[in-house]
Amino acid sequence: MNDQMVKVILLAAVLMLVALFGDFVYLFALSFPVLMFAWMFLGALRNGSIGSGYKASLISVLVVWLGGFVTMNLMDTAAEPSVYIGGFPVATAIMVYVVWILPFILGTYAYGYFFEKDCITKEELKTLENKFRKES
Amino acid sequence: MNTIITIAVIYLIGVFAIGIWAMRRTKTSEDFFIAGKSLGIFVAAMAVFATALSGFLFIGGPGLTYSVGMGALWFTFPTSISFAMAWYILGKRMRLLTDATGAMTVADAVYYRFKSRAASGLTGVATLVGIVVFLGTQVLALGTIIAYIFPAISVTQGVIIGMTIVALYSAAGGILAGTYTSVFQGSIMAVGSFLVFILTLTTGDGLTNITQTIATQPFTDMGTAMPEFVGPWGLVGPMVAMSWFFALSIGIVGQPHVVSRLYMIKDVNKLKWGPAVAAVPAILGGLLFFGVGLVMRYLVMTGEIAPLANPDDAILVFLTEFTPPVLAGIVLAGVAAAIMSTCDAFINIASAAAVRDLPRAFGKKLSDKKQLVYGRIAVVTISVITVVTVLQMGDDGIALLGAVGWGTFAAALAPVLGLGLNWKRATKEGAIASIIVGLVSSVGFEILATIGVYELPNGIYIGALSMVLSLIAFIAVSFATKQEQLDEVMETVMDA
Repeated sequence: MNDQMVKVILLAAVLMLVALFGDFVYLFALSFPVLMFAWMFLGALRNGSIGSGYKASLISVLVVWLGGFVTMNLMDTAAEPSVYIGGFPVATAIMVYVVWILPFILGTYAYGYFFEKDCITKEELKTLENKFRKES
Repeated sequence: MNTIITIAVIYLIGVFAIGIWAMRRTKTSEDFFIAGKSLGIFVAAMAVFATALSGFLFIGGPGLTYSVGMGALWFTFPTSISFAMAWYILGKRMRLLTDATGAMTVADAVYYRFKSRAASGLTGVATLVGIVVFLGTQVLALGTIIAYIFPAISVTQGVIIGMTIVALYSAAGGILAGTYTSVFQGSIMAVGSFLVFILTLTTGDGLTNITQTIATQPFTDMGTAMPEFVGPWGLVGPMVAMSWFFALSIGIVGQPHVVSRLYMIKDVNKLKWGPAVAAVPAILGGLLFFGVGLVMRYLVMTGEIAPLANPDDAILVFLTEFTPPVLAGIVLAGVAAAIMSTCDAFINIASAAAVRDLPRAFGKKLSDKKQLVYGRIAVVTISVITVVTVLQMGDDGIALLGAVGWGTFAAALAPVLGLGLNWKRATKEGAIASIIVGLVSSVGFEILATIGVYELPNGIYIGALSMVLSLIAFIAVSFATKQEQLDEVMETVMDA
């Protein structure tokens, strides 16, 4: 699983490189969120697998990023806006309230919420600490 | 101005008091470099926040928003998730690694992971290079703020005074002093940011009025209406804006002043709410970032103030003209705080690189007592070198250095740490290739552009490109070279 995630990172990085030099905005908008997602996913893997809470959390963040960046690119931001949501034109509201704030709940808050289930349990930590103590 | 000066003096007395308190608690090199692994959730998270967000958030950020609009915000928007990225990717493994091996620096982690003095030494070199290029900008900004608060003091004198203060409390109390001053400083930054944001909304009669005015009226200093100014990409365009978001978010994994804090957390369970606690004040800082930038543009468009000659004056003009003196004093102290907390973390890490990482690269290891003594000497030496460099190079040279700061760390260190600690197939050859590619591309492209030899096409952000190249080099070279067997400790840490 770790090797597969690294291959995803490599593929996304190559696509980003192509997008940067070819000025392919949509390719960039699709590839860099995938790279960031795969890297976080790799970090959340434990011995090759991932807890369901972290998995759902990270996939949600990916969906927000992909949806947000592609949608913002599709919108005409040079036209005078007629609708304002929460103080901003629609595309900017997506930027502020979806791409900026929502990942705080889906990714950052979720890290703490699922920590003891998906990151490390107290028993696992005690076992590890005992092992390190013995070895040192 | 008297109120502002009074608040600034009280603030400096507070910083010194924390330095003296921390000095009494600093007895070993572990205390000096990683705060004796004693930090709770709140202290660690606030220190991470204060360290990660430099003076750019308060000075450069509002100025950039004033110049290019909402697109500037991709510099600050990563904060809602970037701390979690560092925690997901490195948190548990780095914290376990220090329990298992006694690792204290980023180069230590690389050494224990790859068993390579070359990879570890190169990490130390990349750390020092990154710090030199980053610290200069911080120190210059600190001198500017001190000169603004105390009109009788020049910027040069401000640089010397500011650096002396930081060096004194860093040499005395090491990272412990730096950490607790960061908590104090971070709290000021967060509260001040929120209050200023509220004031910007009041000054501009609400956010919708501000954005609508900017979107519909001709720019007095640019001649035409530009609705895209308040669009998601501002005037910089989507590719550049998205590149900023990429490099500033995942790039946090390579920032030694941020990730080395993970070693300092009391126990692994204390990692739990760290990113959430760090993200809240960072988000509040983001409110100030765009609030001040937008309202200053609004005030120019409505004729209430003249166009700014220097966009970086946006925050200072707003504080002077539209903010009660007490709040202005608190925010200016917050600006100085942001800069100082980043400076002290940089100095401490550079000191650790000098007394731990580089000697090991040459096969030497200093005793704990010597590390503590030489660490303090290194703090003073690095501070003096930084001041001399800043005064010699002047504004233009420092601006060049600042441009490559975050990107250099991200490109040279993020893959080697972020993939190295999570991917067993990674090899030391991959690590070495990645650090070299990251350093050379980050610094090289910047120099080529500055001397006019080659400029990247499509407005490519050098930090983003360099990190992509470094990642590709790391993975490709690792796949192309022979995997080495991990020792049992490293295997356990990476499986956990």
